[in-house]
Amino acid sequence: MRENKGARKGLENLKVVYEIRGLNLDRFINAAKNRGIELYDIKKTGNKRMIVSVSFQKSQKFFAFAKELCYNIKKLRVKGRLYPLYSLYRSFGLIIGAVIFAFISVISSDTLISFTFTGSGSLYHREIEAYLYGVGVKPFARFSDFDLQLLEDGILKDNPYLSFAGLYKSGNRLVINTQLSKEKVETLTGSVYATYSDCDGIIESIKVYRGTALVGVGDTVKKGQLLVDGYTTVKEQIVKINVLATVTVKTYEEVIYRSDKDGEEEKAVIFAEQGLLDKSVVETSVEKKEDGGGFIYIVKAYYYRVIYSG
Amino acid sequence: MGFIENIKNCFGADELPKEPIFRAVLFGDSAAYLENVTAIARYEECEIVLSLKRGGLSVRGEGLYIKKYCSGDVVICGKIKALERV
Repeated sequence: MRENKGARKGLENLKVVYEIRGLNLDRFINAAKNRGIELYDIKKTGNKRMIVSVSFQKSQKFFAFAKELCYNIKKLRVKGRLYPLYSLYRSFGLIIGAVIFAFISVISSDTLISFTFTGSGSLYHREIEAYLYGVGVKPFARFSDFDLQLLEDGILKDNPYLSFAGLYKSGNRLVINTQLSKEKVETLTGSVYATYSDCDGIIESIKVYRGTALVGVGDTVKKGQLLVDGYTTVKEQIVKINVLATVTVKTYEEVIYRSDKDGEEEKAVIFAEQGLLDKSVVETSVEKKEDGGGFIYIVKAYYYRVIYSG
Repeated sequence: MGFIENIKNCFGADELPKEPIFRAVLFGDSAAYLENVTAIARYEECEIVLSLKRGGLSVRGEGLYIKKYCSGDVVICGKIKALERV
């Protein structure tokens, strides 16, 4: 019978090690030889126990032969110079699957799919998005290709109406948290124990890093109202701490525009916005009243007021 | 010229058999290669008794084990102290 040299040549050096248990092991050795099975490294480890190696090609035949003679046979290991390749060959599918899985995991988690804008600065999401696109940060870009810290600095430089920009990765989304402010941020000293509102308005967002929030998003607050208090509860005990928090309040200013003419609501709004250039007006409402032959236009210009405490 | 013929010519031994019962090659005292072995009669760590066509051969030593056994060829490793016809 012609030998299958192509497929099996590489496995000639492989040997399978078996443990044989039974009586009259000498008879077993001779019987294997008579069957044309070559035995290697025959070592007796007791009266009824023997370790023997068989070439890989003959291993199945040997196993069947031992079982036929009713000896207990146990495969211990495979040895030989080509054993690492043999292991790879046996678990090739597993290795391929693991590599593909790892590749997809890395690629899929590293791919940016979408942006999420949070905070009061999300009003300018179009400008922020335009900046990000300009620096190559767009859907299907890789997170590993850009530096979030540099992007935060870039967003602040590109958008003067923002006072804070924080970026972080959440799955495949890039979360962009921005805050509006045209006012200079005061130095955080760490010695503040309460945050009060300095205007009337509605809470747009509240972030408390230390302290306890007494209001929530959507709550109406008054000037002087306590928003964040400097305490926390530890194991049912109230502990005094200093406050570190950011509160954004949607408030308004009233601007009065007088005119002899009717229907000048738009002019009144433009007038009000011109007078509040430092406030970044986000919304306006106009109320018209008659006043001695003329008209008074009361414009409420809404803007976001960011209160830092810390 | 065959191996046996060479030996005969070297030693002038005309009585060397044409068909030897067995042939043994010793590699120092750590290994032995034997041909024309018909069976393993007994296998112990201190003695391995081989069956030949006529009679037997005892290999004595310490830590003996069979490195290879197939088709009448045996390789014995270990500390070999003596070979004796039995």
